[in-house]
Amino acid sequence: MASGSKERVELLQGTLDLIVLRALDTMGPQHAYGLAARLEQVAEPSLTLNQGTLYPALVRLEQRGWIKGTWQRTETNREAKYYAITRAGVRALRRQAERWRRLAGLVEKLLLDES
Amino acid sequence: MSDLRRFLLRLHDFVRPARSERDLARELASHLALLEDEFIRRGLTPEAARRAAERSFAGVEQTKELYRDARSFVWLEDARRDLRHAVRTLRRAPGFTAAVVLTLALGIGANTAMFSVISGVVLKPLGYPGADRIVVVLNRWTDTGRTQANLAGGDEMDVAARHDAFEAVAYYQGGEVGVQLADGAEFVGTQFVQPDFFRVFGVAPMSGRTFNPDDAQRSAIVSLGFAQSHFGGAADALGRSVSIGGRPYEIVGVMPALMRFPAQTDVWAAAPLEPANRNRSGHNYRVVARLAPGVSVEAASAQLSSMAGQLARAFPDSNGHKTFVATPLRDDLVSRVRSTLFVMMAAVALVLLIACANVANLILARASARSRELAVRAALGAGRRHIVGQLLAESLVLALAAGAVGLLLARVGTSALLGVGARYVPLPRLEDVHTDWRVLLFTAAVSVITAVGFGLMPALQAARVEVGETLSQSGARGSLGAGSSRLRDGLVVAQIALSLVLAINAGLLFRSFVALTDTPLGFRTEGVLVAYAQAPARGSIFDQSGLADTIRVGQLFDDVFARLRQIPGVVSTGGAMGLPTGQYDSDGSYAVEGKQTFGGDFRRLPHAGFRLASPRYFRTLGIPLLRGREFEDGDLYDRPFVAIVSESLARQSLGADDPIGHRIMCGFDSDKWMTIVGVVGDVRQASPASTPGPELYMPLRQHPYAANRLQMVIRTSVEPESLIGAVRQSVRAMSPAVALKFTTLETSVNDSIAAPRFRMALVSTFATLAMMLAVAGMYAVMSYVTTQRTSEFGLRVALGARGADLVRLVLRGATRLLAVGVALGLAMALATSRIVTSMLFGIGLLDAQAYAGVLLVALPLVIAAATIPAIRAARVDPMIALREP
Repeated sequence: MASGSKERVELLQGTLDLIVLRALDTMGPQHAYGLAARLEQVAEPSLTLNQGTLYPALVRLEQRGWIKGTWQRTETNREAKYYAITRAGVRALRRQAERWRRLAGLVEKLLLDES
Repeated sequence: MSDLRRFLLRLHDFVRPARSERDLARELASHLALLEDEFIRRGLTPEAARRAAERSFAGVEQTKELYRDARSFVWLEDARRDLRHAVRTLRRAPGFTAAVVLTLALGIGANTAMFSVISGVVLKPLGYPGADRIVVVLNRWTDTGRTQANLAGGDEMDVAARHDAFEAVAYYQGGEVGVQLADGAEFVGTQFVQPDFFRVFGVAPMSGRTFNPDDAQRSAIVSLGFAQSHFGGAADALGRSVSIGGRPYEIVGVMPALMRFPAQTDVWAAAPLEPANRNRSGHNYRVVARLAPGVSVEAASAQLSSMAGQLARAFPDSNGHKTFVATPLRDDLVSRVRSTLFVMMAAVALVLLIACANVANLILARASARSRELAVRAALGAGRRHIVGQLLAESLVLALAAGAVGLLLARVGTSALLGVGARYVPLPRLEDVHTDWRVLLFTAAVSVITAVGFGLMPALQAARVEVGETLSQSGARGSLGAGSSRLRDGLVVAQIALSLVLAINAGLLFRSFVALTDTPLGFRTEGVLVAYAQAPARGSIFDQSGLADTIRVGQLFDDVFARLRQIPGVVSTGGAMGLPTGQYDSDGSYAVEGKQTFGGDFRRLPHAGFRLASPRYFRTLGIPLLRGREFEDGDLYDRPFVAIVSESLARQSLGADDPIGHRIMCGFDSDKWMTIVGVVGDVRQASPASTPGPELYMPLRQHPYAANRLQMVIRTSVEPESLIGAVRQSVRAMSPAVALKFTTLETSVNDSIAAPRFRMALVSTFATLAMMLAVAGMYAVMSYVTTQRTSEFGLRVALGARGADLVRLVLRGATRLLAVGVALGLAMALATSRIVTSMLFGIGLLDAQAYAGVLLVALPLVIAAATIPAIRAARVDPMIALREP
């Protein structure tokens, strides 16, 4: 594995985790494909998502106990792993969102001052 | 919290990756299927939909990698891959692997075996409850600095009164003595211990009770082994009786195997609360104590020392130069063997170092044979760190395998060490030598350190490989350039030097041992049967009781000697108390009439060994009578007291005077003047290593209190041991209460130099091992060098060089290494041989024969190791050599 990709993941890490948590919180349980489709739909022109990059985020969140995956059937009768946000996940989302807003505000302010 | 949870899960995932791997594959497949459905819905053909779905991923395998990175630990995964790869690689080179593992296993095994012994004997705490609170109290002479284990009875009573320093204090004395049981008499390890003895150790009996003050001189406690072999079991022994010195003792308790102090004790007999001999000049009692709560060893010693100061003022004659020291029991037990053990440990560590050098060389040679493989890997993008990691992983796998094999070797080695060693060197605490966690930890640590030690240098060396250069070199093998050949040369030099250090020290010990066995002892050892005999006698020298009984015992032994002389094959017999190299020893001050008075500060008086002897003793042992007469049957208790002195004593006290007729007195047991009636030759008393010194011989029959326990010497015209049965029968017939134990004088003398023999054997073994490894190392390097230069040699031959020229060419290189190695080795041997000084006898540190002998053996071996590959290289067929790719 080249070390370049690792850097990109790290760059995205905080945001991607937050986005996934938020999506699961508003949409209810989703499988990886559903999440990817949703993200592409929301972000469309600004972000072309490589669908594979979702997986590290999913495993991180699951290992932290913020989401939980279970195998279920889709409406088209395919089997898929559905991820649902846990109660700890909801709490974490609230914290992370707050932090993100503060950080974003700070960066925004700094950028305004600079220019 | 969630961070910790994640860490643990990642760790778990590293250990058991299979399940989540399957889950991931399933999830990805499902993801792709859903994508495909979507693309089909948008109107693509199934085939096109599948390709489009796969395109949405930047690659399924890459996704898996990303996922694994997040799921587990990359570096751990890397390490596992390196290890797995290492195992596979090594399996493909079984010869190399076996050579390395065996070489290292020898080194690791030897170290582990030695460490097992050190761990059990020196490092492990004693098993008694609060064992670190148990101390021995020693007697130290402030003027000479000499420390002795025995205290005087009077001093012991003062020590025992220090309740501020000690919770319990007990004196003890004893050894192997004759004990009478219902089924006969035998020698048993017996200690007379003050009743508080078991309070000091805190060991509870497994049956019965420990002593209380009423038990003095009436009760005994026995070991579990003794109870089982004589009474059938612990409970059955209670209430039974053993007779010691004609006095019955009732068994009131049985001690578990844990209680084994003093070593080899089977019977602890309760001694009086206070020592029988209460003067301050006869040092007869050993003392153990348990420190009072909160008192440190240093504090106790300080109290003893201030007490000794008061005693010195009160009793200047006896105590003027005396002080007392408390030492932890464990330190005291191992003090005599500690240095020997650590010298041995240093020797095996050297062996391991040499083994490592050897292996490093093998790995270097192999690494250069693999330089193309490594270059290819480097060209394909493997980083330097990766290549080093992989080579280190191989070293680690090798070292761990060697550690496992070494552990097996160590178990064999340890039991051999104990089996042989215990016979020759009475190591304390042998029961504590086990392969326990300390040993396992040591082996693991040694293995890992070894792996890094021998693996790192070659790995770094190999990782420095120049990709372009190596790949453009023709031929299947690359070479690693000048740096690696210098390293290789250095390793060979180090091996030669280190093995010489060991070999020279072994040579010194060997020469010293030969000197020991060649030393004239002053008596003839061959053809003498020795019987230790002890008859019960009730007498006590301190209150002069039981004199008639002890005199009767003296008569009994005279009758026994006469009867033994009737046995066919017996040439002559005699008896002594204090046979050379025997178990009993006594010494002290004496005075010669007209030169000294006996009394006052004894230590200003001349000193001699005290021995008792029967008529015909000197004749039987072959000790020459130089002047006067031997002891005669008429030298009895009620006759004028006589003595015989050794040549050294005569010289020491009487110079050129004729000793015969002078009178002498000593502190052995009576204060009568004894007339010197003879002078005998000097003997080496304790062992061949001791210097012949002044000896004072007195007739057995004139010192009856000590004469119930003696060593009968029987010179035979037949094999001495063949008479054991007949001797035993004769003694039994006269008195069944006499305990007997047999050996021969030759065995006794051999046993007395067992420690140097054992040391020599052990160090020689290590040295041989080291030398073999060094020779193998030289061979390996010269083989490698000649193989590398095969085409060059072919060219030389094609241009007219003869075989002999090539051999000379190769040997020139080898000789250079050898010369440097030998020079270094000799210098290091000179520097280190100081360590063995104290173990040498009769030769100097610069013993030319030892040095010459070692070089004469070692040099040809090493040269031969270099010559064989040289000759092989010289036989090269130029056509083949030149054509070889």
